Order: sequence, then structure tokens, then C-alpha cells
Amino acid sequence: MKIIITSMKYFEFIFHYALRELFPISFNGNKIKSLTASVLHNLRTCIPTFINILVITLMIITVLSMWGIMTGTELILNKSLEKDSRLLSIDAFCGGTGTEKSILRAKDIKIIENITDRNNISMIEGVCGWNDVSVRFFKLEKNHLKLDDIYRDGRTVNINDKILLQLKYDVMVDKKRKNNNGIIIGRSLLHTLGYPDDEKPKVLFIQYKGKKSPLPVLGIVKNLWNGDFLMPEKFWREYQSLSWIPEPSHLDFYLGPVNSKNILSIKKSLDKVCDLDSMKINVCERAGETFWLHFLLSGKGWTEKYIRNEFAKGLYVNIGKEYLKFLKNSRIEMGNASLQEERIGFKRGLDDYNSVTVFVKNIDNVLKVMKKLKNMGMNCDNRLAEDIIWANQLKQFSSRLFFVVVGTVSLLVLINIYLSFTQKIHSSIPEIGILKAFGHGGLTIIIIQVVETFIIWLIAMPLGTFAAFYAGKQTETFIINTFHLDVQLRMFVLTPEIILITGIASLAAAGFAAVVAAFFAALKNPSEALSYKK
Amino acid sequence: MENENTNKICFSINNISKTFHYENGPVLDIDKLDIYAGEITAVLGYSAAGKSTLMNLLALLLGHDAKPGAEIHYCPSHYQQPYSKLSSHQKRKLRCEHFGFIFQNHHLVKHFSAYNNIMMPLRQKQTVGKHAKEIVAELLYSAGINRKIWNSLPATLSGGESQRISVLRAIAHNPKVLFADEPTGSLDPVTGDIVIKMLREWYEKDKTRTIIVVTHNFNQAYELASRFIIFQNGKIVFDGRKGREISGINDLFDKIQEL
Repeated sequence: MKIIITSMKYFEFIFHYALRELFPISFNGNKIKSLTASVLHNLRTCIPTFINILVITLMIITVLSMWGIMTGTELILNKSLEKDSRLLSIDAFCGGTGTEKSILRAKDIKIIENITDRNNISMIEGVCGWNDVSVRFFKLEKNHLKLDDIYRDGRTVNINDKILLQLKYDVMVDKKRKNNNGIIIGRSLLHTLGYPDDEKPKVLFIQYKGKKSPLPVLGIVKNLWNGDFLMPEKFWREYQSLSWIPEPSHLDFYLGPVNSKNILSIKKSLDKVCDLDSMKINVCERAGETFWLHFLLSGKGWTEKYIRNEFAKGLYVNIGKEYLKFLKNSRIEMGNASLQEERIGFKRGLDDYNSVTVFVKNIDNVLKVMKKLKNMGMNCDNRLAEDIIWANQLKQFSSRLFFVVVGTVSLLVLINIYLSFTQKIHSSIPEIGILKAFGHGGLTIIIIQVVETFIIWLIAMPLGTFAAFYAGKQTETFIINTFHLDVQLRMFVLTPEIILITGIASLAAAGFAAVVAAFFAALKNPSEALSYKK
Repeated sequence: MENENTNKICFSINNISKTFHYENGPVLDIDKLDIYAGEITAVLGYSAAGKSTLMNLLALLLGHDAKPGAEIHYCPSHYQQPYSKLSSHQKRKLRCEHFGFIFQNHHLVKHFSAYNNIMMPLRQKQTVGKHAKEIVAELLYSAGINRKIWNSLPATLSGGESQRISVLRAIAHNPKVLFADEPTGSLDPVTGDIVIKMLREWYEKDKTRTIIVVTHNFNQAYELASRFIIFQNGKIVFDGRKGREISGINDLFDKIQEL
């Protein structure tokens, strides 16, 4: 019990001394004037402590804001690398040069999905099998793409495939997605076809059965390779089997030539067949002599097939072939798909794949997965491996740069903290002499200095942390505004780990300085300490 | 001036010297010196004569040169060993419980109030609580210290006030030996006389106490002390007592003049 009481009294003295040394406050008088003078005097006497707190606070602000910015920048760099789906997606092919495997079946997809690392943790985010398709596009308001790039290679996907979740849509044209007969394209394909950046076409024109046919655009995405496009498998089957019936856009018909004698009877016949209020028939002149009837058909019910087989038939019957012909038609003669072709088309569209895209969870695992795919008999695009190696080198460089910059700043800050606290203790050496003269030991002197250091740190740490948040945010804004950066993520990141490490490091540096300086001060004999000149 | 305690040796010094690394030779060299308990001893001499060094050695504020036969014994019946054999704990205990110090520049703890400065040796001696507060208050009242400055920091006190607080701090824990190094050195004569009077009164209350005072002021030394040791170049050149070797203040001046 006596030991406890003695210890309590001892530490009471330590804290009393430490607090008094840090904040030598005393109030004299009871009048406002004398109290004000006391307060001012007290503030003045506390200036050395305030300076010490300020030094530590500034040091903490410097380290935290620097560290926060560097961490944020590194995170942005890593995220931007990992966010780039091209670096996380491996395209593997079979059936070509350098491949042992000719075709990929559903079970192969399963095997790829189950690739794990040494710790049996899955490395695969998703797998998507592909069937390459070629479609002939029309350039915007022009003819086909030029001969050497007539066919653009796209891929078919199941509507439930994970690839559709990976896509980053610029525009989802068909939001309802009720009808999946259409195409998902990249912005780059639109560029190739001559569309300006801001144009978002609802249809593209492709060659189908030898004619220019409108194909609805389901969505425009950012992350497709140049020229690639996606088609739902269901649509592709229809397309291959020639059973796809494209919606007509506008059909211009010119009938004639007509003269003033027969024009009324033709008009009457048309009215009888069409029986539509919306159809407007114009009489126009061609070559200065002959007159033609021009009319426009549009609307969902008016398929070309109907127009050809029903409307025109009725027209011929009522008017007679010898008097009438189609002068100009946007559609040329359509063929009929045979059942055999249709079956082949269905087969090609469904079961097998000739390439696969493997989505890897972590950029560090991409090369390992590529190796495994090669072992399975597939060939991978080596450009990805080169990109990954480059990305890894970039990450390593950024990490080393981060280490050097933050390490150097931290070291300088720690040295400053050390010097600041050494200086503080040196200024207290005469007091240390008094303590020793009155019988206090070296250990007591060291403990007092450590407690003082701890109190200063305890005040400086939260101040520094809050100020660092503000300083870091301001620095972030300054950098972003100055360099006009388009950063989606935060550039200034302060994690609890960073704050903890900075706190521990600053306390350790200050504590170390306090212990060392107090140790050497305590080694002085009282007489020497008392006569120490500051 | 003498009393029955003076035959008790308080400090016994044999073959002591002290050399500082920045000096060519020893600044103090004493073959044999005894200082008696219950006596006020004045150590006199010109500057750099070794007076303060002697006081520092006796007060355990400094260590003497290590050489054969070099010994300082404090009150031989208390510790059976010379200073050089005492542990650091024993030395601290002596400084804390037996010795009191008055320094030339008062050396008050700058961040403690006058009150807390006086309280400091009591805390160290574990004399705390109500009793300690009473002791401090009584000392302050008896010394006539204005109540307004009890909580003042040393920086706001005058030189005289600071030195009086310093005296009160030195005697607060009722030490057996009081070391006073130039206690009036930085004071005007009137304030210096007040300090000397305080020391005299404290001694008069209990004549078993020992005071060793280092001073330049021979008048105050003569008024206060009963024994006079004069130093020159680190050696004792005169050792005499009032009423024996020194018959009056002029006699003391003559001894100094002879140096």
C-alpha cells in the first residue's frame, strides 16, 4: 500500500512538474486589469510550448498531406491500370496458328472459370466465349467500307453473358431491350463509319442479302476494341439463317410513267389498295415529259415483303403490268433462305466458340492465367503481356518514387522533431540541475521529459491531423485545377494506417529525442547543469 | 557564538582536490579540513579561489578527483562510508533530506510559482498534503512575503523577493546542513542584510544546524558566521574563529588584505 501511495505521489509530482513546465500559468490579482495582464503574461510564458506544438503540428501536416497525396496518386494510378478492362481481360484464341485446340466447348469454359492460384483462390472474374462474325457495314451516307476493310469482325454473346455487365455504356440506345435484334458497338467503329463524336445513331446500315438494311443499335460502349461489335446470339442465328426481317425505314416508290388520261384511274387503284389516310401521293415530272406518281411508305406494318408480295401484286392486278413499273426502289430483289442454310446458321451460332475472353480479378494474376490458357492449347495476344509488364514496371516505379519522396520528407521531418525536442530539453538544463540538487534522479528527469513530450504530441497530433486533412484537400484541388486533371477518384487519401504510422513515428522521434537529450542532461552533475548557459 | 554541537564533525575532508578538464591544475587542493555541526562557517576569498568548488563538493553537487586517500565524510556517524563510496541513491537521499541550497542567482524553477518552488523540496521529501501546505504558508508569512506574489512566477519577482523565496525553499524541509553560495551576491546591501537576517534567525531556532556560506561580503560574513576559512588559489590560507583568531571585523579585513 505504501508503495502504491509513494508511486502515486511520485507520478503526481512528475505530471505537476511537466504540466507546469509546459504551461507556466499563474494568475495574480482579482481586478480585470491585473487579470488581463496575467493572461497576457501567461500566454507569453507559454510561447515556447506553443512553438513546440506548432513544430510538431507542422511536421505532422507535412508528412500526412504529402503521404496522403502520394498514396492517393498511387491509388489512382493503380486503379486506372486495373480499371482498364483491356489489362484485365485476356483474349485467347483456338483454331489458328500456334494453337493446339481447335474449338472451345462449354466444358472448356468451365475449366477456365475454375482456374485458381496456389492458395486455391479463384483468379477469374468471368469467362466469355466468342463466335467471330463478319458484317459488311455501310459508311455514313456513302457506300460500303472500302474493300480491304469491308468486313468488321464482331462477336456473338448470350444475352445473359457476363460480358454485357463488363461493358461501359456511353449510350444505351434501346433501354428497354425488348428486342435484342441489334448491335452493340464501340465508339471507334462509329468513327470508322464516319459518325462524328457526338452523334449517336439509332440504326446502322449493313449489307443483308445483298441489300442495304437498317440494323438497330442497342448500345454504344467505350470499352470495345477498335472496330469490334457485339451481337446477341439469338439475333445472329436469325441473321445467319436469313430469317431476319429488318424493319423498313422509309420506302420511296415511283410509279409511272403516267399521263393525263390514266393518272386518275391509277390514283383510284392506289387508293383502293392502300386505303390509308396517311399515304400522300404526289405527281411529279421527270424529263420534262413524263409524269410519275411518287409515294412514301413508312411504319411498322409495312415490311418490304408485304409491299412486294401484296401491295405491288394488287397494284398490278388492278392496273396492269404494261402500264406500270417501279422506277426506283431502295430495295433490290430479296432472296429466300433455304431450310438447310437456316439449320447451319443455328448450329454455328450456338454450341461452340473459337475464342474466349477471360476476365481476371487482379492485374497481378494476368500473366499466370495467360500461361495456363497457353497450357490448355490456346494462343493469347502477346501485346497484353507486354502491356502488363509495362503496367507492373509503372507500378513498381510509382511505389519506389513514393517510397523515396515520402521517406525523404519523413526523415527530414523526424530530424526536425528530434532537433526541436533536443533544443527544448537543452533549454531546461538549469532546471534539471535544480531537480538534481534537490535529490531527484536521472530517471525522474527522463520521465518528466517523456511525459512533456507526450503531452505536446497529444495536442499536436489531432491538430496536425485535422489541419492535414484541410491542407491535403487544398493541395488536391490545386493540383487538379493547375494541371486540369480529370480524376474520378480522390487524389488525397488519408487512411487510418497512415495516421497511425505518422503518429507513432512522430511520437517515437520526439520520445527518442527526449530520452536521449534528457539522458545526457541527466548525466551532468548538478553543479554543471546549474551553471549551464543556454 | 559557539555551542555544544561544534565539537561534532559535520564534514571531514582529507586530501581532496578538484581539477576541471579546462583548467591546467587543480582549482581546489585541501589536505585536511573539518567542518563542525552546529556552526556557521563562512568560506571567503577572491574570485576563482575555490570557495564554490568546495561547497559543491561538500553538497554532493560535484565529484572530487579520484586519488588515493581522498575522502569526504559527512557526519561520520550517519554513513560509515566516504562520498566516493556512496551510491547515487544515498547521495540523492542526502541532498534531499539533509542538505538545503541557496544559490547566487536564486535558481528558482522558472515555471513554478513562488509557493510551488518552496513546496518542491517538501514534495521530494514526501512531505505532502495539509502539513506541507502549512509549512509553506508559515514560512511565507514569517518571511513577510506579500500574499499577492505567492502564486507569481519567478520572472515576475524582484531579485530580493526571488532570493528570499530561494532561502525559504532551502530551509522548507528543515535540512541539517544549509549551503549558501553567494546568497547576497546579486542583491543590494539592504536586501542582502534581510537575507542574512533570515539565515541567522533560522539558525537561532535550532543551533544544531550547520550553515556553510560562501560570500564576498565580509561584513555580512562577520555578522553571520562564527568560523572563517579563507581560500587563495584553491588552498586554505586562513582558518579561524570569531573571538579567537579573529577579534573583530577589521581583523578579518586585515587577513584578507594580506592575501
